[in-house]
Amino acid sequence: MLFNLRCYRKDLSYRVSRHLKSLKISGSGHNDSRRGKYVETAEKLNIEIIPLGFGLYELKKNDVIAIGIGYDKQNVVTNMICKNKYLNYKVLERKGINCFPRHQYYTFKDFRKTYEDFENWNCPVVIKPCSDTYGGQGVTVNIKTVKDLKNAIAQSFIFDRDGYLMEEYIKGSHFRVLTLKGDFVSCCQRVPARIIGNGRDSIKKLIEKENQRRKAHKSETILYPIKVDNEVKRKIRSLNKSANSVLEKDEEFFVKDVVNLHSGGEILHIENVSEEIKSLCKKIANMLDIYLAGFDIITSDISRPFSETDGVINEINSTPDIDFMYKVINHGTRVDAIEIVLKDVFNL
Amino acid sequence: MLYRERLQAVLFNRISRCLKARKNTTLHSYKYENFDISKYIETAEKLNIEVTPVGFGCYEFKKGNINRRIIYSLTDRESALAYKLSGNKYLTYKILLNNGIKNIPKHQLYTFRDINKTYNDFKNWGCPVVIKPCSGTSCGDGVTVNIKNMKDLKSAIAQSFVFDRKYYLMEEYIEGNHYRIMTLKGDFIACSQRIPARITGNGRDSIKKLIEKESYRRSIDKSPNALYPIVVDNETRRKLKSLNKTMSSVLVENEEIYVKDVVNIYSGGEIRSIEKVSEDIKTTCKRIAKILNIYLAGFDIITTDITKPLSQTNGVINEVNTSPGIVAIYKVASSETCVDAAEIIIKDMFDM
Repeated sequence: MLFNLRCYRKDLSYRVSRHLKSLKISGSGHNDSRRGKYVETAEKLNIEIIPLGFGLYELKKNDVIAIGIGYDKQNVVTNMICKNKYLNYKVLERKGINCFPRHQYYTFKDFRKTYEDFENWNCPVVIKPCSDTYGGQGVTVNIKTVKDLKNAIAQSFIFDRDGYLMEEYIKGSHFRVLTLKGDFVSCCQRVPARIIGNGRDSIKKLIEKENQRRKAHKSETILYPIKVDNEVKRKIRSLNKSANSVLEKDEEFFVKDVVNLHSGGEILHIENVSEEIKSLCKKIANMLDIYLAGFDIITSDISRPFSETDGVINEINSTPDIDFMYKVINHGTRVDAIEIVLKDVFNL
Repeated sequence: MLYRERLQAVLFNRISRCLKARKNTTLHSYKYENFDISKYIETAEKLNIEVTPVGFGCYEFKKGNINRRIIYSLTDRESALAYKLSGNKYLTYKILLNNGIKNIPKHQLYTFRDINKTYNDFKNWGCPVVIKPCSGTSCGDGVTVNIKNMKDLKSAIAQSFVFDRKYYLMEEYIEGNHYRIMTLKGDFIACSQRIPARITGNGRDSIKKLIEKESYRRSIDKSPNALYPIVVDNETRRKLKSLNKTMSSVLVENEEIYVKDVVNIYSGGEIRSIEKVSEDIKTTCKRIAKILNIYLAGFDIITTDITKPLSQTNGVINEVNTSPGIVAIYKVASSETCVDAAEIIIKDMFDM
């Protein structure tokens, strides 16, 4: 028994060290586009903007001073609650809101209990660090085997050393709804990184080509390159393919399960959102008193209410990225979110 | 090149020593938060407000239709910006300067790459300095004050590295009394003077013995305003050396010495409540609280006389705390009356 536990621990620490190594290679920041966008919008509205360093700005107009965009309107307790995914679920469930996936919180001491629960639940799961993550880091989705589960736990350990969440994996499209003081601003669909076959090239070659195309392209809707990591390998394997398999012409292939702009995903603007979902978002935003909220929604059809589609709210962000709204592919339809927020801050 | 490598090796040696020492010092902030939240809960129960713990340090306060939350010592009236600034001293200074508030100490921001520049600047300034980590500290962790020579400067930089791995601040050291002013939505609540840990000689015992006696007396004191024991660390030794004393020297009867430069109740400092505060200082504090949009603010002020405006005494606003612990207000000597800050705050949160 004791030996067994020791083995588990050793195994875990080995996996963690491997992930730490891979992290060093993949970590990179992309902040330039956001800066340009903020400054541009502020100048359009005749707002004086002074960079302070550390990613903050001081904005001034007619004796109204704002520091950061929406920062000084946001309440800190909500911010801290939203950073901690489990606490977030718990606070809202106490208020009778039950639109979340089935979930369970574990500390790193009881990872063996996770294995048992995983077998009992008998469905694909998601492992995510409980707090301290940004941009989907440390999240592993669609876990079907115990081996993948172990890796996922080790990966989440890097971002939160206290605990992690196991959630049911829900199939469906991913949407992001942005609200300002509870009022609906815009909705985007988030599509995982994908490549399209041409009948000649292997998957590896196709990813390389796509990345080169994205690097060469210099517009504001430029997408981040597709990151090749463990997840991509796992996804390719689960479809009984290898990196050298050749895709047929016009065959669409999603190389990732995680929907994340920073690892190569795409964004689509969505017009038609169910009124019920809008009012649910409004209710949550008012309950937690969130100024600018980003709701991550998983559902098969966002124009219909959750009761029909079994959709869920997967995450609530109190400091959402606004700039990714500008990366939509269907360019003409986008909503100028930064302008809406700035107008609200300065009562324009 | 070789010289630079050696410098770095020395720095790393010092850092690893400080990291080891840190294990003993991190307990303070936990004590601090516990005291705060228990004070809030106690007050809430007195005012018939229902309190339920949610977990991860978060508590829900409920009265009628009004719901409020407190996490650690932060109330939900505080803005996220205030919290971000509370962790970053340099940003706070910069915003204050941008808005025309000049009563802040001379300061300079450095990264750990330009250590040599710090040494040069230290020589150029020609005055005692303070080294503090730029962010990520609480309760004065990693701060070294009154640095007069190169050797102390080096170990101070190493010590600040433990708390912030990127930046540190060098500031001019300013002599004077330390005061803490608390404001709620810009309105003055309380002012207290903070006194460094001190001992009084009796003509027989060594300094070491005196500190032990005093710490023991404090640790068995179970009253709510009991002080924290005096922590003996590098700083204490440095201070004694500057007074030409050692741990084993004997103090004359009624001779009073300060064993620390840092004013911090967690390392044994004392608190005295102050009634008279200059109106000029109060309005400055109000203005800062408005600019930074802070609900509950704690201003650290260094000046020789708090009843006079800062411009007359060359006093400075040393720090703006955006999530000050209310514990400091309650730890006054039992003979003095203290302001019940928790009650004022809870009443304001529920508009009572």
